[in-house]
Amino acid sequence: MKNEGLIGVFKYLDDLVGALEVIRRNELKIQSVYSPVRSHEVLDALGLKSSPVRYFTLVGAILGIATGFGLATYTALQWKFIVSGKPPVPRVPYVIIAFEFCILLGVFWNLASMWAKSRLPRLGLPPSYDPRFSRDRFGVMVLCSESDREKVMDILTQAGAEEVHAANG
Amino acid sequence: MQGFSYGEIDDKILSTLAPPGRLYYFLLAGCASGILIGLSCWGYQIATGLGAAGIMHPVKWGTYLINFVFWVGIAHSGTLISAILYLFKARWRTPLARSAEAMTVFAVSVAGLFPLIHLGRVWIVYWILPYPNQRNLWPNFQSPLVFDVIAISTYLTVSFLFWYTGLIPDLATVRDRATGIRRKIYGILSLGWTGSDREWNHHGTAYLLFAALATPLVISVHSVVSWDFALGIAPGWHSTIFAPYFVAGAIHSGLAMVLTLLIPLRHIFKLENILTMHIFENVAKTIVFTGLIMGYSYLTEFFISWYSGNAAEWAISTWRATGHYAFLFWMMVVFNSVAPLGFFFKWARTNLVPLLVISVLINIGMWYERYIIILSSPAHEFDPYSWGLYFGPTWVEYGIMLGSFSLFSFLFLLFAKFVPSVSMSELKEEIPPPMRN
Amino acid sequence: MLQMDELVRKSMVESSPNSRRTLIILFSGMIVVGAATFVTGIFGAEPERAWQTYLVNFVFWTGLSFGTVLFSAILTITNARWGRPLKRLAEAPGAFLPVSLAMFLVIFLGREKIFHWIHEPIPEKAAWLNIPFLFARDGLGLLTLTAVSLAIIYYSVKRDTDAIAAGVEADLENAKKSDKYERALRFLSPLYGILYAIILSLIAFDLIMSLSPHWYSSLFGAAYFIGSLYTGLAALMILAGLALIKLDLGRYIHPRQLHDLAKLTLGFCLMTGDFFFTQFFVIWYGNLPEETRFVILRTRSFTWEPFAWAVLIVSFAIPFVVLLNRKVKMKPAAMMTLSIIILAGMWMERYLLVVPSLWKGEHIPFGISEILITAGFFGTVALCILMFLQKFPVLPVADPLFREYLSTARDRNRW
Repeated sequence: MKNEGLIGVFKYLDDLVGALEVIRRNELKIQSVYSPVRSHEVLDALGLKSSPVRYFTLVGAILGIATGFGLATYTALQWKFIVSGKPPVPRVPYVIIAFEFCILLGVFWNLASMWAKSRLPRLGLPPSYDPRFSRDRFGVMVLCSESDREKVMDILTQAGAEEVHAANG
Repeated sequence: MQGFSYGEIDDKILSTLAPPGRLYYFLLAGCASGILIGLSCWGYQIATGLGAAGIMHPVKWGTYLINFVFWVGIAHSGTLISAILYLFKARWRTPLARSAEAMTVFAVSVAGLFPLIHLGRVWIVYWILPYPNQRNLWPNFQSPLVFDVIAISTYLTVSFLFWYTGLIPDLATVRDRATGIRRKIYGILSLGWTGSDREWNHHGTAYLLFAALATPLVISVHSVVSWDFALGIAPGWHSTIFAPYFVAGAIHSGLAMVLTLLIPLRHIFKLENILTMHIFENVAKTIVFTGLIMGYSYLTEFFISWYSGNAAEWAISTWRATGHYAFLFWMMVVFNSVAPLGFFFKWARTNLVPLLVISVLINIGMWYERYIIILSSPAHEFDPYSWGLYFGPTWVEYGIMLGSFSLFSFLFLLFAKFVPSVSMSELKEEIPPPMRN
Repeated sequence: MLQMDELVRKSMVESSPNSRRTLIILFSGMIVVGAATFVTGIFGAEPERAWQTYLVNFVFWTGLSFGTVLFSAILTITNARWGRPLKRLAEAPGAFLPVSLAMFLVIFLGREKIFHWIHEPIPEKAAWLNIPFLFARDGLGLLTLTAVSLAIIYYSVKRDTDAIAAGVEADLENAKKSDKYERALRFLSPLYGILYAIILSLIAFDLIMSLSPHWYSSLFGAAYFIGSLYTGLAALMILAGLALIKLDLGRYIHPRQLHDLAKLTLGFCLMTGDFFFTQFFVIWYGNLPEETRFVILRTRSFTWEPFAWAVLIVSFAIPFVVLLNRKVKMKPAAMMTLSIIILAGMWMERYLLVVPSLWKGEHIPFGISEILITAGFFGTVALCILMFLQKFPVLPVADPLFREYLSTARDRNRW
């Protein structure tokens, strides 16, 4: 998949945020914004909605409770032993089993949804990635056709980009 | 930490991954030998039987249970620091979090070995798992031992995944600076992380949810461990306060272990600017808090054992204080609830010597607390005819204990050299981002 | 950045004299009606009902007040910034504490009806369960804890009133962190924390657990003081909501504060629920008659089982589910409603602990007299809070960490 565009490398966060605002105003397509640190300024500037990972986690947690109670109840019903004078299917201890499975499955769904949503694991790094992005530089990959290149380059350099060069996807 | 730039943070922490000196290899070799000694003792025990470990009537739980509870306790403080303090937005936690979480993962792994070591017929350990079988037999989900299996495996899984998720951005940083085979390996481990906005967005939420899920898990795991004792009716064990008492004790011993580990680590890796005295001071203050909870628990249990009017309960309380294990009992009380009071003084909180000394005393005291709790009750139950004693760890148990500490240290040494022991991405979040204006 | 005088002016409660008077009349009316109901009750046909209601209310409201003051102490101990605007509101219910001490002495008059071990003494426990020792230790304990909490409130308020009286803006802006008020608070707050745990445990053991003198549970004291902290946080939520809405303190009490307070309340909701379950589980599993009798009466008997389920749902299940939602935690009206539900639930929990030990009838003794006596207690607490907030600044204006909180432009660690 050929996504042609320009990538701008920024040293300062406020420059980047300014650039993002201008780019969005011009309704240009941003593929990714790279940063070495989670930055709520960037997320706000991009207008990203909060992650839906929490809903998947809730689903996982509820499934976990069901699994816990289900497993314990099913296994107890096979022989219906009365142990220490307690009923064959006692609710009280099974709360513990249900709770542990709730956490376990909640965590699995949390992890899986985070990976799926972030498109991890990734086989190779995208060509636009620069190793400095994990150290101390920010980057924005803007998708644009040949004709828009001038405009995007202008926007990025005016905003304060250290470097701007062409990149694919 | 203030005044560092992003690049400087990276340089400082990545320098800990540089090829190590001779001391490191020496320590690593020492730990490896310790592990081998432990394995051989275990082999001897499997061949000879649990009598080699001094397990006999009436005390059928010995140092293996003590070590099990001890290591799970150590693990809890790691999760406290990385998860619970994250939820409380306590900023002093950040430089500690990665090492603390690693400590958790390794401690739970070591802890999980002990129920296995304690089995006479180790080869049929899988019977405890719920798998379909021809006779339709299943584990008894009412038993606290089965709760343990589920809780400890959940804790190990969740801690590992939490630790790993936090590591991914840092592994990407290491990948980007590495060459050759190291680059490939870290590349695979970092899952192709690029630090894009989408990745950070989901990562942030996932990390928060991990912390929110790990917190009740910590409480429940050590409550489950405490219920191994409290659910039975043995005097001295059957007490409703056990669950919070054990959880507080776990955090207490774990924080002390954090101090014991990180004070040397800071010195060896020259991380004085990152692992500041302020952080140690905060850990010390938290230790005062947990120490007070321990003191409260000792007092309450003693009072209620009298108030209950139950002759056996009162007998175990007085025997613990005056009987065969009395010296260890008082050592436990003094080391766990009196020694930490030293941290009320600012001098003690901000000097390395008292920090190290008191933390070591607490580690010893908490080990002996599990000793007293686990051994004294079966030794002195309802029927005087059945009273007996546990005659201290045998050489097999010493060997296996040495093996467990060596295993933990070995894993921790490997961790310190292969993985950034301070979280770079979280530290970068703490400092103001580079702004032109 | 902000005007000092605006801050000071806003923080001195400025409700209109009329509404203030209305409230005073309303609360005083409640007190009179409650007291009258109580007095007629104890001289009437069923004095036990009046005494048990009194006891339930006493332990509930006293625990609540100590719990809110504990929140203020925790802010000092942890150097927390986020909760600073709520500090004075947390100290306000402390004004009830001296009154509660007087109300404790009233319990002495009803001791025969409340403590059955007076006419059926238990020899093994007589060294602990005897009237002189019980009232001496509990009275002394409550006196000490009240004194320490009043000292905390004193230093906290005095710092503000002195600063306002001095009136020099420069001094206020440069408030040193280690002045004498700060030193006093830093000494008193941990002391209060320790005494809170010990003395409230003592109160729980003596005033609630000893009502069934053959029963015991080592976690009972801790369950009481954690439950009181939970109750206190819910009460603080109501006060914070009122301050936000009625006193127009939106500039200083941000919805984010309510969110953080709600998260803390969720934490203690879970902790209270966990402590309940821990006690229940250990006793259920051990199945020892001396322990199970207490629990079976409350959770399995025909009279009390539905009530016990109601307590579980109202105190624990409903708040847990509601507090999981992020958006609702920032809405003052919703949070206040939930807090009222929590308070009702925890009151019912105290009722469930106390009354089945004393009342042997078939039907739950809950009628108009219980409601009126409870209203009397509520009126007392509300009046004390109102009078306190009339006199003293509602925001901790001279607290240096409050200043820091106000001047912090950005949120750190935003999620």
